[in-house]
Amino acid sequence: MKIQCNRFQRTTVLFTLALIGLSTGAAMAGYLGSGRFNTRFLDWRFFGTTSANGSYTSPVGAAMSKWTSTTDLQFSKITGNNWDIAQYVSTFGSTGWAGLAYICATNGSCNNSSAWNNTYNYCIAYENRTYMDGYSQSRRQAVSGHEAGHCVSLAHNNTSSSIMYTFISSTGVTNPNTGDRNDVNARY
Amino acid sequence: MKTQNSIRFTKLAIGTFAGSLIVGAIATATLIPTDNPLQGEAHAAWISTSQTVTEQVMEADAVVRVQVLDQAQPRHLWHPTPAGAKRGTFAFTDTEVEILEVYSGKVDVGERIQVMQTGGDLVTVTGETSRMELAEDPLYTLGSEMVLFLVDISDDPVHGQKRPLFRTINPAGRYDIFGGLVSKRAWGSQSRASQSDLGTLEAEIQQAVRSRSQFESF
Repeated sequence: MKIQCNRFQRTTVLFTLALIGLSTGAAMAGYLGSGRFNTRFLDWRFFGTTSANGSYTSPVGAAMSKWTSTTDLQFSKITGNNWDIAQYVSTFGSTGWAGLAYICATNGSCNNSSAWNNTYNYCIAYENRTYMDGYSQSRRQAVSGHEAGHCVSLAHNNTSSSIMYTFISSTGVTNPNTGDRNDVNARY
Repeated sequence: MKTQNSIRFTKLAIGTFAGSLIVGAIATATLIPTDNPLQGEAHAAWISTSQTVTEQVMEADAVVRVQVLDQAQPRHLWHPTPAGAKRGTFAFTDTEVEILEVYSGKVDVGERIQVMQTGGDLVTVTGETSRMELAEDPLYTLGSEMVLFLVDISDDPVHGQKRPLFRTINPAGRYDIFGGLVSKRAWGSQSRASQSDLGTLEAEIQQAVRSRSQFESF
């Protein structure tokens, strides 16, 4: 069966497709705000007690390496104080959360919409040993990778295969999926 | 000729659609301050996945309607290692609430309990006061009424230290009450804030409490 259409109908079809594409493209991107670091080359440092070093450096390092190997980001581990992202493992008690990212912008604001919509100065990814000591290495990597995702502007989403899934500590997804990678690369 | 035209049109349509997808994503990423319904949600990875009233009742040690009486000064956890100007300070705020109604749990009407939240007022390195709070669980305000699904953290060595202390199971375990209506913030699988009336919520809670009692009696 052949479908005949005139120029007006073709234009309408193309316009509709463009609108659908625009709205779908917009919906795919999930960011905390319009803010970001002003470079994709970011230095990170591990902070933790001596007892945390042995059991957390490996999964945290793997999480950061995964972002570097799968996206345009270039994370470099350093030991000095001039870090952009801190991976901070400590015991925060029965807070209800396993991880939390704390972003401070160059305008001095921290962890609020002003910070999320400005140029980032630094970010601290907190990991809570109260819960994570009971996690496997891969679940620790998942939470570290998730918080690192926040540090580079990504927001939560409701896709269980995404490392930015709201309930990441229950899924243990360790690798950024295509959507995560696309979102990061679109911003950096 | 017609076949060539239709191939050309198909290519054009696919190209238009794909191009629009890319433009949409880039525009959202760079120009527009995002239309993401989860924007503004803080970045905590919560442990509890309970979101329905049934799940919340199963997990909570107490389900209560409360009114906020007082807020203590935030307790600060300083982190010595992030150096210089780049340092993180954590605040936790304990709020005193009076229990107006008990749906379940070993607490009493009229009792005053402390409920802990992550967040509080901080003094920055430049000496300014800054409020840290989680967007999905902003600090309680004086006089406000809420239905809370609470877990008892009195034994927690960091926060409880043997004093009576509670926190909500997760951000979904908090329903703010305004004029007989209860509202719930966007969080988790709920991408938009929602509202219902208090009576409906109470009926749901009571049903879930009955189911839990039956479940526990087996």
